[in-house]
Amino acid sequence: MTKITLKSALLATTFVVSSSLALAQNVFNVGNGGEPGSLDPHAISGTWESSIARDQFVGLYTEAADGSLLPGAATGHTVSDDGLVYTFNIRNHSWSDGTPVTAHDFEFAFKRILDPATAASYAYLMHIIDGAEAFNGGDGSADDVGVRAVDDNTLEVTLANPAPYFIAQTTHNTAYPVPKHAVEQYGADWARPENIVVNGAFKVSEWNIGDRLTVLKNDSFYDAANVSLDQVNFYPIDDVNTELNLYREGELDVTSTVPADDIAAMRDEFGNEVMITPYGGTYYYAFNTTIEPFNDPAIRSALSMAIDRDFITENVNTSGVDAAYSFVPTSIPGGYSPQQPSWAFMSYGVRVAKAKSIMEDAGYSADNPLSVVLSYNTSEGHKNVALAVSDMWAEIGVEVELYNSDVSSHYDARQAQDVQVGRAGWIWDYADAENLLALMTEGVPYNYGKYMNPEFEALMDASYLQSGAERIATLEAAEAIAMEEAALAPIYYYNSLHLVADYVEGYVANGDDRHPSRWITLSD
Amino acid sequence: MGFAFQRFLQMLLLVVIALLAVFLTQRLAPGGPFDGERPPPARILENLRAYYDMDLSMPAQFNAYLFGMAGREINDQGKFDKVYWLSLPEDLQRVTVGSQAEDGSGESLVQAWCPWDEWLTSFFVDREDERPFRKCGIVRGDFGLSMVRRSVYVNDYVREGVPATLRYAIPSLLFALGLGIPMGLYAAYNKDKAADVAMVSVGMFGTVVPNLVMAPLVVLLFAIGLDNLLHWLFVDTLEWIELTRRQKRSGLNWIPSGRPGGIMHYVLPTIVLGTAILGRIVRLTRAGALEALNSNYVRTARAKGLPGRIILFRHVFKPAILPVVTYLGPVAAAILTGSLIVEQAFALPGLGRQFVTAATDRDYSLLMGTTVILLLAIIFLNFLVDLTYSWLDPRIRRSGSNS
Repeated sequence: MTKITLKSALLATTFVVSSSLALAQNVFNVGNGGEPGSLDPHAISGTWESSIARDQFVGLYTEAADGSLLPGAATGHTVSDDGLVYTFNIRNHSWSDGTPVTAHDFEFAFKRILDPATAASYAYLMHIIDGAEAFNGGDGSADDVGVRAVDDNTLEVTLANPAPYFIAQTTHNTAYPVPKHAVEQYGADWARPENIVVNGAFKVSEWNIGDRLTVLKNDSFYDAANVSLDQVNFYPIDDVNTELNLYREGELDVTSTVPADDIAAMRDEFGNEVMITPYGGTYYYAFNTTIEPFNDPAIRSALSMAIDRDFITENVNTSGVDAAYSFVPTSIPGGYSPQQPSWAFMSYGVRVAKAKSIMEDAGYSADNPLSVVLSYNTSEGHKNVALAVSDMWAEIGVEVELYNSDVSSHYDARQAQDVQVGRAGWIWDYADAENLLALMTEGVPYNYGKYMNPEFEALMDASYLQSGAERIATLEAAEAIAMEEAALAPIYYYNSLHLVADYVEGYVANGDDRHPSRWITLSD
Repeated sequence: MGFAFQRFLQMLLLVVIALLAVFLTQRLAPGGPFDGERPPPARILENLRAYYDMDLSMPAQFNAYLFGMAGREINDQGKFDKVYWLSLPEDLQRVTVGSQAEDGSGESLVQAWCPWDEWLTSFFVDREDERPFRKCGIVRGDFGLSMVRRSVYVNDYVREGVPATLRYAIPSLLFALGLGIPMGLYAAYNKDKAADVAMVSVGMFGTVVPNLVMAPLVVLLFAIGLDNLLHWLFVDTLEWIELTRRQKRSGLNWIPSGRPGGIMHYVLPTIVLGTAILGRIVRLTRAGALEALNSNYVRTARAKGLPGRIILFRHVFKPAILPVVTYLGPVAAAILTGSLIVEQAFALPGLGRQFVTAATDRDYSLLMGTTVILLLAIIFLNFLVDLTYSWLDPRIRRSGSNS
């Protein structure tokens, strides 16, 4: 009797629940990690910000659900024979307030992000445009930047040197158009929710700081007919466990990450809702090549050889990452094959013996150990990797002193060359090997170890003037040199982890970990 | 009046000292707001520093933070000079910004726009169409622009964060008082009996278990455990109706584990924050009540044959809660600092969470802003406590007016 009463009470509740959910069928709830700081594509730097910008703006090219290139605000383009001049045909489409999107908006946007007064931290991605670096650095003028609206529908971009990856770069938020008329009217406040004008599939409707940011379908988007969702809610939840609980309760359809310490338990609980895919980046240790003994490729190689990556990926970082022997991750698209040093194929025992003999030749042994300071930014994960590596290095006569500091101090020290061996990581800005390999060239601020090899430089320089298979071969040759010399020690390739509810379709794995809401559909 | 004015001056001095302390410590700490996994190249860093006035000397930066900028002036090279309100030596108050004026023609000072100016002048001037930028200094009500979250003013965080924090901070205080005072009284009346030990132990349990542990614990018990239990009991009923996969996963969700929402969303944060101060309140009430119960006037009242109820409310209650009232100042501080963890754990949009992220991000302006607001809140609450106390206990009032 009691049970029946409870049942009917519950039935009533369920009917209420189901009817309210039925109304909200096409609302997509996304765990988005951090709190966004801006809706202005020129003022953002975090992935949690670019995911929102990606829904609101479309660049010249854009990404399909699987991350491949697709024409966006441009219907197509032509490239001059010298690879320097790109001419884009701008699609006939309009901003969310009805004003047409023209080539002038692009010209305005490219010059705006480069203007020193805009102080855009990611402006350096646009330095590939002729005259951009000088203008951005305060030496040049906006008029000398190689971007020009020939007419309303034709945009001409002149590059400083040939860059076959430029088209891929136009999908990045730094290359999004901004509405000239709105920016001129509202200044820096143009991107506040009450003023913003967009050309993407969704437009912000509400932003409650710390709680959620809501975007609604933009009916004036050129492909609105193929957008299934009506509303997307982005939740800024930076605590992994809180996010997990909200997913359990059905408040989120997708999470920004998954607690990585026990993936097996996650698989038990959620089955194939756990989505682990390679992410375009590498976790590595940078050697300060300006100081003894790290200026010696043999010592660097010995240190790199002695790192048991399989142990780290099986026992230390158990989030399903893959061991890395190359700097360019294996998830790189476009036919590039990442290059590993010759010892990568040896068994770990053989490698340690070899590393030991190299160290002995250099005069280091258990009795006379080489002392190394290994720096990392404070985090449980980084600490565990560093502890494992210091044990491995002890085997070959290296005494490790661990040094940790918060991320800002860690970076300051690395910049000041105050570090012997330091943890670092890189996620590509655009899916091209050049983006990673450039970190080992001279003068790049992110070349933390100040690695410098003329042969490597020459190959990199040559690659900019090449294209297609020839260019890929040159880049591969360059990476082979750097890896054989252990310019740095790759440890594992990053991956991205999400929980994706089984009724979410169109959330496709890709190395950029970009998932535009435009392609998402919800089945019941 | 004299008392209040004296307290006001003390408060002002405290705020200025605190501001200076925060200003200096964060700038002397290694790193800065524009660093991170991938900090921008040097030239771009220069642009960012100029944008946030960090190209000035330290005294000039503090001046700019307090008193703000009068405006921008276009100099003879067609670039902007920043002009500040407070006069400092010439080299400190004018800095050229590395950008050209759009038309190169403007000769006059471009006036800055400030929140308080607008409020003051809104009756006379329509300022809608001229807001070139906003750098007014905190004396004119502007906490500045966040340095990491580039398009959000610290004022926005304060405006949205303060009510969000109050929405569960006040209930948790009421929860702790509403539960703690009766528990303390009950313990005093049953001194040294099992009930006494039980009350004090339960109270202390909440106090000694840190919020950091308590939060996941209550989520596990109430949000997940209870929900699973209900599922387990009624799973056949739920499957009986044709529910979509999506609805099934949502479950009953009786007590949510986080995010703002209806009243049920605040149950768990209130418990966590409330239990953290419950133990102290129980013990203070108990001690106060015991002292009263052993006093001569209660003995006299008993001898007169007054009913226990009257004795409790007329003679015991007031002295019992007096120590609790004194403790409310520290309690307010405990709740505000506790909010740092609770807001993180329950994904609530309060000021405490902004404070924590500001500290880790080295978001100078946001950290300064949230510190000032938290400080003002604690000072103000202590002030209220002083007033309440003197109202409850006339002896304080008398000694206060003598001095």
